[in-house]
Amino acid sequence: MHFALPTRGNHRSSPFLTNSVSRSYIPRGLHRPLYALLIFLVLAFFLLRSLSGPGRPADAPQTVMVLVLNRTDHSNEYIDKVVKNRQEYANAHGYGLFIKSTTDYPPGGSAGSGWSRIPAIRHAMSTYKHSEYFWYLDQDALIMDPTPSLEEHILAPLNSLMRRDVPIVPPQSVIKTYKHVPAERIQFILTQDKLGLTPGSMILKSGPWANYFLDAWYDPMFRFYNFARAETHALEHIVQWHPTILTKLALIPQKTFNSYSPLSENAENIYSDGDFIIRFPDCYKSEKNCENEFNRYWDKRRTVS
Amino acid sequence: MGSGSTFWGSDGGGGGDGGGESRSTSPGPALPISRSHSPLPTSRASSISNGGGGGWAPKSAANGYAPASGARRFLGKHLRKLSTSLPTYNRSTATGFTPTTPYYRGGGFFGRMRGGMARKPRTTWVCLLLIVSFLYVFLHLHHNPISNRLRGVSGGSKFVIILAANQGGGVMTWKGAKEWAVERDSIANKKAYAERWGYHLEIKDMSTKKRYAHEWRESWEKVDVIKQTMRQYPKAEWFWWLDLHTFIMEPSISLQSHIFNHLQNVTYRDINVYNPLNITHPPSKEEFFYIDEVAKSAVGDDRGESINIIVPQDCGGFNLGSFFIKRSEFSERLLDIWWDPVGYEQKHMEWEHKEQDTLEYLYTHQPWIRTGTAFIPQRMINAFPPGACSETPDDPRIFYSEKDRDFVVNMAGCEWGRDCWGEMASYRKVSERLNSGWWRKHF
Repeated sequence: MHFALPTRGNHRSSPFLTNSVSRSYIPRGLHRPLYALLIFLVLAFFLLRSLSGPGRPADAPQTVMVLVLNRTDHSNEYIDKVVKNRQEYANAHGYGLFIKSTTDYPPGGSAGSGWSRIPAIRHAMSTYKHSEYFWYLDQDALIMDPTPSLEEHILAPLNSLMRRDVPIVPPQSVIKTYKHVPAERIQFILTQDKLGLTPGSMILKSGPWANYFLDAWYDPMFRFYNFARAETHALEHIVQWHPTILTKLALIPQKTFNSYSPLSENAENIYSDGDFIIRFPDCYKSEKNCENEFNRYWDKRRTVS
Repeated sequence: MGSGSTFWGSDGGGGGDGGGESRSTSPGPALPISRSHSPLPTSRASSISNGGGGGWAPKSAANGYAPASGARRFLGKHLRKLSTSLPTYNRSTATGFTPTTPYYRGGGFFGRMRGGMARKPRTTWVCLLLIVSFLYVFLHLHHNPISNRLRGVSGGSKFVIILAANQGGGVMTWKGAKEWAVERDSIANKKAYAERWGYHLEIKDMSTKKRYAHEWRESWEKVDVIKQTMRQYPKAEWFWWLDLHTFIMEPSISLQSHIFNHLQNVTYRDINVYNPLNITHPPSKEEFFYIDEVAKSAVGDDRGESINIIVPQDCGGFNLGSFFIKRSEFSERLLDIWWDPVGYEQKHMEWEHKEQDTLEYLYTHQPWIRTGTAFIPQRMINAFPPGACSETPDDPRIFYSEKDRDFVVNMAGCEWGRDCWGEMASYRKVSERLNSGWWRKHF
């Protein structure tokens, strides 16, 4: 601002001229000790937080594989091979391996042993409470190529892998996967075959949503309802009726981590060389033999040397 | 400051040093500028001010000219004076004021206050205290539109009361004069309460309708209504469901002071405190050995923030006649899983209390529900009249007590064989009597 006349110097009527009044609330002599105290408090806060907080231990794996063994109808040799195969993969990528038996989680009543995967995953989540991803893979599967980690094979490219706007139960159920859900919001990754969803190979992210989802799925109302395909149909049911579940779910191409053996009944998306996984989904049926099918591919698998 | 005050003294000619000062600093050349800004009447005003000598703005304004023109002229003339003498924070007030405002004294008012405060600290404190208490009484306690708006801003709009009106809707029975009267009373009661504290009130029509294409889910609308209300009030946090046959007995108590300011202390997480259903809690170790530590604990994580639904219990278990639910991911999931066709198919004959029985079932069988559920002593939000819960007539935890000034009465089950209208009228009278003092009535 320009003034026609020069100001009249430090007059009492203008109390805010330079330095006439100190604007500071803290007496001048106290500045330095106060700053020191402040810095000390901030440092102490961060130190205490890093010491006492629910810090993640350094050796906690990022990802845990869940395996539920059904020992009743299979030879020990077969079971050992399955375990060895999973161990090879877990060791190659530093994953945790959570192995339990179906008899550890009796579903009760008339419900089949397939239900045991649900409490097993929840158990793995409460055991490895600092891990983020939990990969459940059925016993009737063989990891053929252990080189890609789950992160680089599925989690990182998830956004491009996700199949959007496809019916949950093929060929034409009314409920379809959402078109615009971003990959960051996904908590549950699985595939579908010709008949519907396949909970034989699935990835879950731990957290309150996973607890909700697993508890809802394992509800006795579904367990004892006599769904024709038990836990698979129950899963399809809750996914289609409850949008809070559907919105967290990503369907990815079946061959990503659920290729079927050529002998399986719904032989679409069958295994070809270089696939990550091969599964023998109905090998337990009487005319086939899980162990024979499994052993045929055992030597073809690649190992990490 | 002295200069400012005498400058605006209404006696105009005041011969103080300030007057002299002002005359010396208001320059001649400023006048033409102010004229060019002024509308028509200014020609006369300026002639007067010229004739008046010295150009005193108050005179022209006192002659009845629009204050705007007066202000403009005043500014045009004395802009330099203002800007040199005023502290910066005062500038906006100065431009807004007209010279006729009696207490306006340029920079002098605040300056004098500062001086006064420095000289008489005790008087200053008494004055401040008086002002604050006046504001408190009339903006916080007193019931008027401004205070309502303020309460809304100060957190009242975080609460929505959902009142389930028209239950049955006259489909099952004819709705007589008494039913209409009950409904009118109940709605008026909630309306007054919501208005008093700035809460939202949503009255929902719960008449029995075939709302769905399939015949399922008939009259299970509680969940849908809550979801719909949550969409209607996207900024609200807590939703209070109230059945029609409830009466807020103490409208002078806000929800914040009654419950939400000390949520942790008035609710309990461990159902064993009062467990009429004999639900095993924490979940049995044999059945639920695999769940996480928080779900295994009897009190969850025991933090107020994790409380997402607040349920009272009566002699028969959960009571959803009056309960709170918070907008959260948890409640979104709960509201989603609450109704399921497979469950409905199996249990709808058995679960005569619909959502209430379902919630009890879910609480028992799905451990994640327990981590977000808290219970509240029944008399806090859902006291019963003597007619309800006749199985346990002596339980002091259930029935309304006038002496303890219970907050809400729920005349649960009055439509089956009891007189809803009679009960409602008598409780309304009790409430009016209890809240009848001059203080209660006005504040």
